[in-house]
Amino acid sequence: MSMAFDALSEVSDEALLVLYGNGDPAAARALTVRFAPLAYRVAYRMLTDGAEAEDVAQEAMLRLWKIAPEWRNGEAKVSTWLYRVVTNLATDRLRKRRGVGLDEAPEIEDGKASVLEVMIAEDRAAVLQKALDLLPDRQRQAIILRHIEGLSNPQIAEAMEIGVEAVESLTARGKRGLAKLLADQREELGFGDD
Amino acid sequence: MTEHSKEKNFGLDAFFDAARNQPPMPSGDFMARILADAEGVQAGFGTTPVKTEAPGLWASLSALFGGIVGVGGMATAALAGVWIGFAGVGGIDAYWPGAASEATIASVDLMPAGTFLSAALEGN
Repeated sequence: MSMAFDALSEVSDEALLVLYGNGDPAAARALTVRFAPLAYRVAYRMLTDGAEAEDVAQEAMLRLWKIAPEWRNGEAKVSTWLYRVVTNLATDRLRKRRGVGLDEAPEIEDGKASVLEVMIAEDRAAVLQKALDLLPDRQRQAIILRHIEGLSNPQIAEAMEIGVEAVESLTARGKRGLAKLLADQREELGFGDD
Repeated sequence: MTEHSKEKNFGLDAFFDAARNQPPMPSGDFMARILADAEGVQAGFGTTPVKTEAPGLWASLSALFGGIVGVGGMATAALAGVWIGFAGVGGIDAYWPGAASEATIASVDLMPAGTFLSAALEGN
């Protein structure tokens, strides 16, 4: 039996996925509205490329659809599962793009900040996105999940399959890197100290 | 005090706020593709094709005679028949003493009415 689309707004993510797995077409629409923008948003922030973000988000959502019949309510949060799949797929793309492994990802160098000069007229969000693009992959992933998506450290630990202390270390290093990248631009952009 | 405010954010909060307030939005085409995927995958749930080939000769015979147990019994009986045919009926005396030498089929009394039956009638 299919539930009306509006009636699903109060249904939990996990119950919705079970409904989808049971063949409810309204659940397919509700899940798409709920999670496709999230998948795209996170993929874009990882990759800074719309076309690649669409590919990654579509692949992640496809995996979600396929796993639905095996989903057991209470086992995991759908959002955490999706954050993990999207960020892992995006990280794979970044590795291929750069041709280096995670451990070989370069740390921030002082000279890198100069590339931001071309973005003086852009707003904070665009500047931050460009700066994120210069962070090592795992730091960027942790910063996006923690400070933009608003996940807790334990949720990020689950999504990244690492410990909470490692998450704290990644976010702290990531923020230092971002601060270094943005420092030279702060006055020119007129942002001042926040 | 929130968990975020306890952390040292190096003055990045305004940048994070701006990013949260201006999320990259997917196109309508992308959303349509995702929904099409969802409906396509969902259409395949519970509709795995069932193998509908006709059963083979062995499967048909096996089913006719009650499966592997029935067929096993049939095979044993057939082998016994073949063995008796080779050995000849004369040899059966060794397994059924007296059957061939002391009685014929015609002399077998299947209803000894003079004894058991009459006793039963008298009892009424």
